Amino acid sequence: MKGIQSTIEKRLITGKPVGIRVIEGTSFMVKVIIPAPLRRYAQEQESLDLEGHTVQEVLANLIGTYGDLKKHLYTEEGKLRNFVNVYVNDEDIRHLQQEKTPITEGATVSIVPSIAGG
Amino acid sequence: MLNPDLATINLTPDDYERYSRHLILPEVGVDGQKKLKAASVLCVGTGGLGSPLALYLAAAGIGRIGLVDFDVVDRSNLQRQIIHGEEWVGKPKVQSAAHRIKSINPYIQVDIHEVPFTSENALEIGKDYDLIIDGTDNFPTRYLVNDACVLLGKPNVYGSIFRFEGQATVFHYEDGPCYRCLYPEPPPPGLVPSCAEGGVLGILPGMIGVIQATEAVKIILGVGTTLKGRLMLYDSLKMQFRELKLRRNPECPVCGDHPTVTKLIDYQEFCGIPQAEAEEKAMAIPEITVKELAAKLDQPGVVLIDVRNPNEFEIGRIPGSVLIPLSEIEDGQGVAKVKELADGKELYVHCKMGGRSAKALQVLAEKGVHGTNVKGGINAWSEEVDSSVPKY
Repeated sequence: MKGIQSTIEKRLITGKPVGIRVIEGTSFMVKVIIPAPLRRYAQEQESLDLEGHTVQEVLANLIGTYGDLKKHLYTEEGKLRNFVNVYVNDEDIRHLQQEKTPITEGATVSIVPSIAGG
Repeated sequence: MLNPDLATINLTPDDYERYSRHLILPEVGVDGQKKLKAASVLCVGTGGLGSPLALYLAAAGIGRIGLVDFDVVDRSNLQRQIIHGEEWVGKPKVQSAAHRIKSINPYIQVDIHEVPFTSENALEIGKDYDLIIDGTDNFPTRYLVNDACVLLGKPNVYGSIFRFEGQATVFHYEDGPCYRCLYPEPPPPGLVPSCAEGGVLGILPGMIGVIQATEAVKIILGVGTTLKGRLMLYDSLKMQFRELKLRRNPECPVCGDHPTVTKLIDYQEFCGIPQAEAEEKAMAIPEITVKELAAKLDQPGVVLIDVRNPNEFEIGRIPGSVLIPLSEIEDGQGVAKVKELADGKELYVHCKMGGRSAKALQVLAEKGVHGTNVKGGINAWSEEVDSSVPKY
């Protein structure tokens, strides 16, 4: 119940949409940074605070909030796309435990897609 | 060459005067300046990134600079491609860049490669340089530059930009990762807009290009800590730098322990741009020239939709056009609007240059709404019909 309460309170305070999936056990609020090319699918938000105790859960909450992001982050088979890198703090999750990478309190999850302009 | 025999290189009296501020630095000194003089750098692209980095490399006294570009200077380049000037509009970028470099530093050699960088010529051109700087503006050429660097065993000094943000690092240097370790695959065509479609802050490539030039000079001098294994992210709006760790992927198809890419491939195909398919898709959508459109607009029963962004609509518009941005059409809500407007009428769709409108018509066709694309977009309208509508 605490999770739901804090989420609703947060929404009332900030007016911003936040993840509403309820997660069993300890979960943390983490900051998720949305890169410029994907912001149009996230109501131009630069970052948002979401709950989760793994990368997978945080991203599920992200997609739960902004459904249009799903096809840009995941393949039809549900795999994270190869041109979208996800970092927990400064580490690529490919070198950690992929999407099962645990989240710690205060962590930043960055989505970093490839860009090519020059 | 890197790590040359310094005894064989001499600085002239002019060099001592010109590079005085380098010579005073213990980290550069006479030996460092000789290393710069003996070095050769290939700049692939003389655009937003290539402009500032080539200017600084020339000023720093890099002995030989190669320039690869097949494009000509367009007026819309001048907002950021600072090596080129107004008088070079319509002329080859490599000629313009070489001319400017020579005026900064006539004592260095400039090699002009006025060709597209392709799988056929990349190794031949690249082999004669100590390091290669990626100042390109598209995914196929970026993968080509990377693979060529790995196959030739040369460092790849990388930078890329998007709107207000940039990335920079050094790939394939010493035992470090390559571009494919970071991004094994490119995004599908059309997902990430180009600078021409998405816009770019003119100063941004200056910042990233100068980071690339700095890394190149550090590699040549053998001083400091390079960006090897670190991806630098720059956000100009926040004025914030962040860095992420990069690691070599032992499974990497080109620089891994068991590489499967051992020669250059077809990078258009790798990036999902099979020529035939792209042409076929474009062929399926009928086109009209701006002159034909101008005649049509005088007749009743015609509707013209502009799929650019609202800020582009503010720059100029074709009289009578209705703005419904591509993003609205893609997310579905714009489709209903187009349907309503086009009901019982001839539908024409335009954008800036014709690319986004073709995409909008593909999306519309899937929803049963058919129309005609305006070839060359509002820029063609400006050139051929009404020059009071600004070209941008």
